Amino acid sequence: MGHRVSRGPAQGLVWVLVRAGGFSRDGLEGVLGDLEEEGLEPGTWRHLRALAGVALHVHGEPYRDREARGWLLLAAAGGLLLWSAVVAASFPPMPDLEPLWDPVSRMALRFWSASHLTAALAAGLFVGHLPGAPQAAEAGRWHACSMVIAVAAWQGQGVATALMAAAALLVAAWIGARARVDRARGRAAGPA
Amino acid sequence: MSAKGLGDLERLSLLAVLRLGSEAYAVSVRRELLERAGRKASRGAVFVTLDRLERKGYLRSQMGEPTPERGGKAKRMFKVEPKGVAALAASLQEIRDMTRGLDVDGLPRWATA
Repeated sequence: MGHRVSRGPAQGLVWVLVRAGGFSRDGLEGVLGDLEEEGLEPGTWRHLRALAGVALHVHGEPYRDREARGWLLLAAAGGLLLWSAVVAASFPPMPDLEPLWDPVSRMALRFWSASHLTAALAAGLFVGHLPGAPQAAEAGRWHACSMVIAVAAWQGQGVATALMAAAALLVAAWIGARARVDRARGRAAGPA
Repeated sequence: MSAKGLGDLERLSLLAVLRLGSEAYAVSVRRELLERAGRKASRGAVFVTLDRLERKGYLRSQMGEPTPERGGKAKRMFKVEPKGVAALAASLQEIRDMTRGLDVDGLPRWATA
């Protein structure tokens, strides 16, 4: 139903922002069609501005009411707490001991000493999987991730690790969100 | 009565969808708000409000047929659900309860009777 139109980079970015905010594919198709019906041709500045307006409203949803703001705060605080706990629970690399251990244990040791990456995965899964505030949760999830990245990922171990940790957090959040959606769909479908 | 009432634009949008019947989609809702209520809502506000109302279960949407004037894209048509009618009724009752018996110059009689 409908078709994909080619997008310039700016329009593509805004499209991604709207979709990341939780607007469904059908919903976005409706929006794009409505804009064209009103004479706003794709690729024009007016079209981009109108779509950016939609993106702004979508990403304003997590701040709209007390419930949504509370959820956002919980997600960000929980993610930060989990990050701190994982980093605190990790231990530094022990290269002198590694030759004494079997390959699996060595791998586990290296993984657990890459504390920022482990913390990012844990925090991302938490934020992604956290239920609640349905009308604002999608955009709120990415805002919570951004807050966690801004506060936690840049502490300690250099730009490369910070960037990898940020990417790991975002991927883990996406996985957590997908797992939550798939489980909710499975529950709604009922037993086979 | 629900503890979380409808927002102003939510209420007006639900009313607009009810008035428009089978022709309710974002463009017509926005036009209805302007023509009937004099309310100039931005496109983004209307799109997101309708989407939010659907997530709350007050509206249901269905994709129509794609048309050439829409670049081959389908229209997202909206319909009010019974839950939306109930929320609207509660919201209108709130206003009614607050205005009944008020004796203030400038308020319409129908609102304060």
